[in-house]
Order: sequence, then structure tokens, then C-alpha cells
Amino acid sequence: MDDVRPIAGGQYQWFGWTVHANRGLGISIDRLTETHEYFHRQLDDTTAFGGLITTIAALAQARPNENWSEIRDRLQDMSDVVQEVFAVGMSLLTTQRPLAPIDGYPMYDRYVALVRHLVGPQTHPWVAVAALRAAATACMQSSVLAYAAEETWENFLPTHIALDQRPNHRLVLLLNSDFVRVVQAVLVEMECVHGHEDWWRGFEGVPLPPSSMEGSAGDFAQDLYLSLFDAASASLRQAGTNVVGIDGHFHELIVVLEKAAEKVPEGLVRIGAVVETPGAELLQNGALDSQTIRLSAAPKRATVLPYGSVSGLSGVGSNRHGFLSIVRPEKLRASYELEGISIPDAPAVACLRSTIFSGESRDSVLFVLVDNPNRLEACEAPIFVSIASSAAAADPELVSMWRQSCDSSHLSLVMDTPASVALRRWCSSVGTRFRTATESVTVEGMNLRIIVGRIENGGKESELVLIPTTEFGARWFETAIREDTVLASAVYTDDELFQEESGHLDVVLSHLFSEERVVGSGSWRP
Amino acid sequence: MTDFEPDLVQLSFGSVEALWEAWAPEGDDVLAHAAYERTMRWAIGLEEEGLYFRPGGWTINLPSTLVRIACASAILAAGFQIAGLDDLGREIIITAAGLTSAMDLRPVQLTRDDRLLVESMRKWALEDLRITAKEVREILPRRLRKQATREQVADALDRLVAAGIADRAGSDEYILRAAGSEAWIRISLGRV
Repeated sequence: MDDVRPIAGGQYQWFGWTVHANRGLGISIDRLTETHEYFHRQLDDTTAFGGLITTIAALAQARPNENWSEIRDRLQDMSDVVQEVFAVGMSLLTTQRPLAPIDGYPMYDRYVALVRHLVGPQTHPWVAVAALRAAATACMQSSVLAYAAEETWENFLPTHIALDQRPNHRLVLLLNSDFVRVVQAVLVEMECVHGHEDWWRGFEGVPLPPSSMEGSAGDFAQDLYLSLFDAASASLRQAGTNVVGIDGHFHELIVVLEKAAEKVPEGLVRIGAVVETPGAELLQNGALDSQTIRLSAAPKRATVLPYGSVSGLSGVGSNRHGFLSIVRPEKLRASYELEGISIPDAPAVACLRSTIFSGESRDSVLFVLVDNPNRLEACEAPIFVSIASSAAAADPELVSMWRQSCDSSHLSLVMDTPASVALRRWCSSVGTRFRTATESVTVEGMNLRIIVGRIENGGKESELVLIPTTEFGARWFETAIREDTVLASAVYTDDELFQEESGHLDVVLSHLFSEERVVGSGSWRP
Repeated sequence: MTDFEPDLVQLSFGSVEALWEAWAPEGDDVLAHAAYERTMRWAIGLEEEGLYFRPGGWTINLPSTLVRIACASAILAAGFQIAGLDDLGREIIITAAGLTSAMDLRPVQLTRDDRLLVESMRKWALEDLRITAKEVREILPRRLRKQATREQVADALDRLVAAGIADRAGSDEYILRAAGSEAWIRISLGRV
């Protein structure tokens, strides 16, 4: 029998998550998977221990030859049970599932059992969400950042972190405490107060309606979370350890981030922490800033050739066109098994991209390097220029040169960097609006969403902005443009947009989904 | 095709969980279970960066030696966790498990004639003296001497060495230990 190792599903790696665009597992499982990964990120991004581990992870990425990755992995070993208990429980509760083992996911049964032990097996989901969040946060709110802030990096050792400051140990203290009895008492009280409300009673298949987290019910939910956080903290203190307040770690986190930045003078890349996106609480750590989607349609092999050796154009007859992609070389190296000539050692390169077929099947992706827009002036086929947002950040001069050479009707910006952060920045300018629409796209059995739009200001229009995402990401975007004050006033939906841009989108999307191996707002990372 | 075909066995998530169920202390220990699973995954090469959410379990074909070491490592890691040794490196745990898996700890079975041999040697007060198999054969009672060749006496002395009753002293010499000072445990490294 061949090895059977799990490859589908999602993976969280401190800065964001990766999902495999699946073929047939169903939208319900897609949603559960991505919600699970999102909650890992939320816990890391809002707590003291998570702040430390993501800072160390950023150092590990910036300095791969030093021992940061060992430290990061050791810190993860100290917090992985809390992370899984939180992500398993919260993803079940918020996707309208019972707190019960998930069919087909035996590796998570024991975490389900721990969640049931921690908050009670039959607890109403509205109370269970608050209780689980409070418990996991209290476990992660140890004084670990204070230790990291005081100690030099040279002397910082995970083994020096006291056992009662490690989240997994704190979870055991909480499991052995009276916390679950407190939760059950609160459950009785909440049922008395809210039991008559529609949002408490839920409806068929939806035990936790969205209305239970909105308006006054949302305010009650936040109050309940705060009160259960106090209860979890009291239980931990009774067991002999301390708990940092919910926002009490920010000062130390800033100190630790500054210390980490000193180690990386060229800049420490760490997206999503509160201190880096002030005023954007809704957006920080969101799906459109952290998501990597692995696609399976594109060939693994790619060939790089110099300009003039082959045409590099795509399509036949009236569909003949050139698709010029501006991308960072490291993304090409990370995505494909490359053949042909070496890619120039530059921040970004421009290349005509097309697919080489072998009969009916895609054999490889062809990249024909183009050093100057003038090269394509004589080309009789229309040229579509598509800029990866990470390339625009890496080489603004190159991108500016190509922008000037191309009509905006044939120019697109594909977001492979944090999209909602960028969108918020663009929309902050007075008079700016973002005209947008979202569509479902099915590519070779993979179900994805594409958010498109153009930024408008004073009669001027930007290139077509494309944000490839999932159903989870599209729902996140809907919430963000409704609830974030900056986006709510600047973003408007125009259902005609896809029809208007259909010619352009046909070209860009077919190249994007059949030739890219990874897409999404976190896919700029190697 | 190579000359050396490893002896492959199938290890699955289910069998790893069954081993935990068989071994686990009563009442399950959250930290020990986590240490067990983490170490198992690391030892068999399933560990990846970060955390993940994936359907199904896993099944993997591995050389039997590696499976023995992985299982021993995982149980050792859980045991160390229970003992409060939280910060032992995985490399140390796996090295310890590798040594344990390489040790042959089968009890040595002495025959009645082996015991008669010990009695005869002690009767002649040969304890703590270097003596060859040929010399030992000479002091045997006539009945035993007739039955045993020099090679068979050497084999019997080797069993006494394995049992901790005697020691080797060079290629063909042995030293019988005094009564009461036999080795408590004798470890021999076998091929793994």
C-alpha cells in the first residue's frame, strides 16, 4: 500500500494560512477549514504568547540561518493544544455545527473532547463561544512578553519560560479548576435573561444566528466574554499563576517588536498585529490579508526564454493576445520547476506568459522575458498587462514604465499582498471610491471567488484590481465594507462591473487560474 | 532495486492512537498525550511547519526499525512529560529510544549443565581467575567431560557471560564472578 498522507485542508503558519482549492469536499468543509485557520491567526494576533511567537516567526523568516525557527517551534510546542482547542471549538460553533467529533477528521476528536470538558458538553453556542474565547485568551495572556522584553535576545531561551507561563500548562490548570462550573452557572443565568429572544432560540440548522452577535446581543456577547475572561483569570490565579489583562500586553509587544526590528535593519515583515494597523481592528488579521490558496490546474514545470526566441503570445484567431505578467523572480522560483535561461537578478521582471500544451493537457508554463514595453509596440495582437501587487511594491519604477505603456482597459493589478489594508489606504483619500463586484468562479472543479474593482477619484480610474479569494474571504469582504467606517463610505457594489469588464476578465482570469500555482493576499510569501 | 530491502511495516494514525490507549496513564494526561503525538510525528517525518486542519488520518509505510524507534520515542516523551521533564530536546529523546530499540534485553536461559559447570568451577575455587575453555573442561566431572567438547564448554561459558555470572578476559579466557557479585544487567547491542 502506498503512503497516504493528508494533503488537503488548511495550514496556518503564523502570518496567515494556506488552503487547498479542493475538488468536491463541499463548501461546508471549505468554510470549516478556513474558519479553523482564521481562529489560529486571531488567537496569535490578539494575545501575549501569540505576539511573541509571531515576532519570533518573523525573525525566523528574515534570518533563516539563525536558530529562530527552533525557538519558534519550541514556543509552538508550548501552545499547540490551546491553539487547537480554540480553533476546533470556535470553528465548529461559528459554522453552526455541534460540539461533537467531525466526521472524517479523527485527528481532532481529542480537541473536541477537551472543548466539551472546558465549557461543558451541552452549553448553548452563544455562551460556549464566549467561554472558549475567554479560556484560550487567559491561557495565552501570560507574562511571557515581559520576559522577552527584559531579556537580551542572546539570553532569551524558551526553556527559561516558567511552566505556569506556558499556555498548554495553563490550559491543564483551567481544565482542573472550577471554570466549567462557572460557565454552567452563567449558562443558567443567560438562559433566564435571553431565553425568550429569537437569536437565542436560533432556527433549523442555525443554532447561532448572525443576529446573536449583532446590535444589543453583540454587546451582551462582548460583556459575557469579558466577564468569563475574569472568571478564567480568577481560576488561574487560584491555581497559583498570573494573567495579563486582555490588552495589557501591547506595551511589551511594542518593545519586543522594536528589539526584533533591531535584528533586521532592512525591515521586519510582520503583517496584521494591532500595533501595525492602528485603527483597523476589523481588518487586522482578516482573510484578505493572510490567505494563500493553492491551485492545482497549473503545470508544475515552467520554461523561461529570452525575448525573440518564441512569440510568447496566447490564443488563436480573434482571441490571439499577449498576457504580460510583472512578477518577482522569487515567486517564480517558489512556484515552478524552472527550465531555460536564468531569471535576471532583479526585484521584479516582466514576461509574456502562456501555456504550452501537450495534446489536450497543459505541459508547462512559458515565460518570455521582455525588458522594455517598446519591444511589444509592433505586436499586432492586444497586450494585457497584469501586475502582481508584490511586484509593484518591489519595483515601482519597472511597474510605472509598464503602466504608462498600457491603456487602463488592458491593465490589471492582482493582489498577492494584504488587500484590505491596501484598500483601506486607497480609500482614505478624500473623494476616492471603489467600485466593486464579486463573482463565484469554478476552475477545474475548484470553487473560488474573485473580487474585482476600480478605484475612482475625480474622473480618473485605476487599473482593474483583482482579489482572488475563497467563499470565506468574500464573506469577510462583505462584512468589512459594511462595518469598517472608511470602507463603508468609499466602497460601492456595481453588479454591471463584470459584464463591462468581461473581455478583460476572460483573459486575466483564464491565465490566473490555469497558470498560477498559488494566489491570494498572503501568497507573496515564499 | 537495491541489495538491501528494508523490512517495511504500515503505521497509521489509528494504530498510533491504539498504542496510546494501551499505554496511557489512567484519566489521560493532556500534556503527555500532546508530547507523545508531537514526538511520534517528528520521528516518522510527518511534522510540518505551523498548525493544520486536514481530513482523515494518515497511513505510512516505514522500515520496522524506524517504527520501533518512533514508538519508543513517543512513549519516552510522554513519560518524561509526566515526570516533569518538559524541556528535553527531541534529539535526546530519539537517541535514547534508538539505543533502547537497539538493545537485546532477552533473558539468558541457563541449562542444567550450565549450572553444573558453575558449581564445578566454584568447587575448584576458580572465581576471579583467568581460565580458558580447555582448562575448564579439564576440571569437569568425568561424566560431563565425556559429553562436552571444548567448543561446547566455550559456548556454555559464553552463556554465563551473557547471564552476568562470568566475564570475558581476552579472546579465549574467562573469569568466573564470585557468588553474590554477578552483574545485575548485561546489555548487548544487536543489529537493528
